[in-house]
Amino acid sequence: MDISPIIDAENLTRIYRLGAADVAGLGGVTFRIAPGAFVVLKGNSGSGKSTLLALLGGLDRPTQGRLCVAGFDVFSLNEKDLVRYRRRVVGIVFQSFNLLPTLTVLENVCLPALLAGFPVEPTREKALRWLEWLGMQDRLHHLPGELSGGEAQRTAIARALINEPPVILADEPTGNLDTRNGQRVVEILGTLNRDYGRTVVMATHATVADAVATRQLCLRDGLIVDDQCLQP
Amino acid sequence: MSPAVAVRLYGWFSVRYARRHFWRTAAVIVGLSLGAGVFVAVRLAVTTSVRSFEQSMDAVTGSADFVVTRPGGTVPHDVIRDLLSLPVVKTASPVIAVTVKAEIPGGRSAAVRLVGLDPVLDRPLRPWASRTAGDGTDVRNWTALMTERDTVFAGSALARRLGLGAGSRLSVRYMDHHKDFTVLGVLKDEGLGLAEGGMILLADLATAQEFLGSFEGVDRVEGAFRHGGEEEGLRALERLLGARYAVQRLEERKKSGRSMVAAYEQNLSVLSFVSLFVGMFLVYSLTAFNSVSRRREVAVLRSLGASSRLVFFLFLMDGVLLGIVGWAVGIPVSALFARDLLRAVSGTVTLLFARVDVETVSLSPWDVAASVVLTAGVAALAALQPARSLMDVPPTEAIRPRSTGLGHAPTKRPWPTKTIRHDGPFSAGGAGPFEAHRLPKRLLEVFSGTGRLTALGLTLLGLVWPLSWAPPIHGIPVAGYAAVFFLFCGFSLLAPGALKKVSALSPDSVRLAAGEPCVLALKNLDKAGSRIAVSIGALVTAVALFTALVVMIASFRKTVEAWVHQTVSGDLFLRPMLADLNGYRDPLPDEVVRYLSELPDADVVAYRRIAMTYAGVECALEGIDLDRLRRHGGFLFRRGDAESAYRAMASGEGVIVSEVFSNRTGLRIGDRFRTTVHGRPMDFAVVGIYRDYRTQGAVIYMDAGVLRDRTGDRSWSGARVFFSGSEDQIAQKAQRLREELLTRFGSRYHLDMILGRELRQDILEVFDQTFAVTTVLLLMALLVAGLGMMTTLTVMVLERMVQLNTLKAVGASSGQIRRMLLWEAAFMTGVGSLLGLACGFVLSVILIEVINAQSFGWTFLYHVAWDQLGAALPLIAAASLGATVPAQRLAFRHSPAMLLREEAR
Repeated sequence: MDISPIIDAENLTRIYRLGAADVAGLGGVTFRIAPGAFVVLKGNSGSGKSTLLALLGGLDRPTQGRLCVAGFDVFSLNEKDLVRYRRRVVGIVFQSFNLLPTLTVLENVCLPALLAGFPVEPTREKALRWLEWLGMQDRLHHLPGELSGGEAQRTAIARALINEPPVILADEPTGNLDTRNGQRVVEILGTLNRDYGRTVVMATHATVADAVATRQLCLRDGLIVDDQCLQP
Repeated sequence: MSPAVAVRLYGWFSVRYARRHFWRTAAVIVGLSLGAGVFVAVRLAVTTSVRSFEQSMDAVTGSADFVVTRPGGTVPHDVIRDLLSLPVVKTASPVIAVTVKAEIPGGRSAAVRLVGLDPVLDRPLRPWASRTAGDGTDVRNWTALMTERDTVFAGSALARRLGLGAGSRLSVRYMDHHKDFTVLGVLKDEGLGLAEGGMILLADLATAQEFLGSFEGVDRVEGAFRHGGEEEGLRALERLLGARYAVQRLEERKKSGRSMVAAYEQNLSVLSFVSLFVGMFLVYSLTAFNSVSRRREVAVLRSLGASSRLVFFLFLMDGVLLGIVGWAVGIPVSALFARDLLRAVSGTVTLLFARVDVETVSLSPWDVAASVVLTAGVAALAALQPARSLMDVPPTEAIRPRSTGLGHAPTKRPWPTKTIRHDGPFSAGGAGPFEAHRLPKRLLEVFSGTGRLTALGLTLLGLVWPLSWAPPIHGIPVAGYAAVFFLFCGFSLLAPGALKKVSALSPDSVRLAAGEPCVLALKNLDKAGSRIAVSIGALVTAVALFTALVVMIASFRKTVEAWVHQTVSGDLFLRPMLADLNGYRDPLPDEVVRYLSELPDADVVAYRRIAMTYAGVECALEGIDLDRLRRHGGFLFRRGDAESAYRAMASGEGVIVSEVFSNRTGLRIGDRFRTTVHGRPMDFAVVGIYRDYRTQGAVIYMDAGVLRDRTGDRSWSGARVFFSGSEDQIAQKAQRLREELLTRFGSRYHLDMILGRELRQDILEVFDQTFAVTTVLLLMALLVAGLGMMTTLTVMVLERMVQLNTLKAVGASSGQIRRMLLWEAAFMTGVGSLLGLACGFVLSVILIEVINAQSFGWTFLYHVAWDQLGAALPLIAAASLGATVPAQRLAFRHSPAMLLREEAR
């Protein structure tokens, strides 16, 4: 039986204008990702990984191409629907965590749900469950400035999960972490994928996620140069 | 690093950046130049007017040590002879001085001071000389005054105004006296030629006496002691003259005059400094903005080997250069204001103190240097904190930007808490449970950054009241100004604490009422810290100034209105020509008095006014028909009970004094007022203090009957006439009487007459003029504060670009982000406006009860113009909220993709 892809990209192109020159961030990539896949995007700096993630996250618009994620034709969405898309369809984990420094751990995690208009108490309970699952129950009322790197990234993961998005996008999530914490983060993402059914797309230039990933897309100079299944 | 290299680096790093962000820099320069321009223009106007006043004072007194007068009368000639016979007296010069009307053929005229003196006796006291004619014709020297009949020398300002030169003919009038004089020449602008701003006619004493028909004596005798003989000389004078004459040291009079003008000058200068002070916030905002947006560049600079001192230098120089450029641009700006300001200020000085006539502005090199240093200094002070903060930027930020939110908290971990057992695979693990120890939250708050600011603010505010009541130093309310400075700073420092209190509102309640953006806004403001104090400080200052001045002006006007209608009551006022300028030296002619006394349908309140000096203060004693006055009005009492005061005055036991007189001399209720009038000693108890806002506001009132009985002086200095009927009927009767008086006496006596309605209107217009200067300064402060608020909000957005884009990435809509920014601005504006309002009320009390009283001797009835405040404050709030527009635009300039793109580098 043919399962519809959760991510369907066709000829995705993104050209940047830098001064007088045009630089191709993405040169027209086409791929499909099945639901429940764990895809690692590999490539050196400037290969187009972050550009692709930005398009998948609805943070940027392509110069050309089509993208469907969980039934949303991303680039035809108006502003209001794009906001809904960011709230409900994707959760993003950044390399630099990007926690709001004036909010506590608990508040940072609750934020996307409150922005989406969900009621406070159920949101708080859900946040507490996720944070407890991630081992952050002792840090609920701490500010980001008081956390270690690993703790901050776990908080960021919880934030990405609060609205139960089907797709998790992670941009070099281990880039600012030591090996042990980096491994832990990858294990978390793997568990989310394996046990909670989330589709994960993770950009990295390391091999840290090879053990948990089901597929690898290699990019170079804005194009996919390799696409292979990593697990049967 | 050599200074030359540092300067080159400054050019590469800062000047090029400023050129690239031209409009941003230009906006700050414009704001600063407005402030600097107003400051320089006010200094120009004030120093020019004050210099002219001081020159005039010095010119009039010359090197004289003492002056002898006889209040209520003239000093007889034999007194001069007696004075000259004292060995300790070097010279004694008789003087007659009266303000007259001078006219030339063709109709042009001017009010001028006619000074009659003995050129020989006066020469050692006051130098003066006439100009040499350009064509080499022989210009008469001063002896010609004595040898040629009906001749005068004219001051240069008068000569210019009426086109006079040697040989010109001039017609001079005073009361019923009229004579034509020949001008011998024009005085040089030195010595006596500078008196009255050059609006002076100098005549021989005999000529003046002949003109005035006054041969019994002179207005005053001024003299000088031999070297070192001052103390002995004063004692000798007292022995010789007794209590019949008043002897005053001229140095006292000069000091008194100088301190009054100095106080006025200080008032204006401090207010003009506020426009510069508010410009300081603008410079702060720009430097803070630059420091945030260039943080990465600074980190790169540091990683390449630049020292933190160099970084400090680069950003401090921004402030200094902004100040210098702002000053340079401000100079032509000041030229726009200077002429009008000069007219307003010199007009006020003339009105309140003494005549100054200034055609051209003058500014000494010291004033120029001071204004540059002050403007650049204020700007450098503003740039200090942002420059200082950049010294701490670590070079590591060159490779890892500050977007993580990590590394900016104290390196110490918080105190440990109890662990909770759980089943999740990612527990902290390992740590056993142990007791939680937390400092009480309140104690933590006191010692936290915000707590310290609040404590400091409260300390400064606690000092305001005692400082404001400290006595002036040499007539200048230094402690009063310090109190005002502490007041502004104190309230500004309360801002972070106030915002913290607001942000402590229950998030759930706030969320329910205003949504998540409002909750986020409060969170951001809670952590804003000390920088918010500076940012809101501009708004606090502007609102406080506005509030204080609105209250002060409304209070003043309300009080003056009450005073005008109660005390300046009367339907027709009349007095001899130029009586006010001449200290009421000549009474109303007897036939005028007889005519007025016999008026059938009117109530005439007569008064006798005698100019004198008391404890170095120029004042006047006035006897008034109290019974009749009370039928139509009375006095506005500041202290003392009106009824018992009137009884004491009527019985001859007491006098009431004006508030100005009381503040200047220190005489209070219960003290004794002792003086000599017409050679007769007077001793009364002070039984009341009343409000008086006349130009010559230092007045002592007694009952006219008592004055007549004690001195035998039955003359009238002037009169007020009251009619009955409707307002229109009264106006018609007053007008008819004026016409009748003109017809009967106009050609002979040139009486000054004014309808009561017109006088009261004129008085209110004069007070409005006095405050015109301060209104301009206020508008400038508001404008600059508005610009400051705009830049502040933009800085806050710039600092949080990553957070704002993160919000977008996690699902915040554009509307939610805009609302969050608007809420931040609204809370800052609200807190700033409330603090500013409170500060303004306190400031108004200080201005009215302290600074104004010490500077001018007046206080007012406190009155708040709620309608004006109610209309203006929402406008200020709306303007501040409008300031969010550039900040909002900036917030949406980049797409959230920049969050990823930055990481990819």
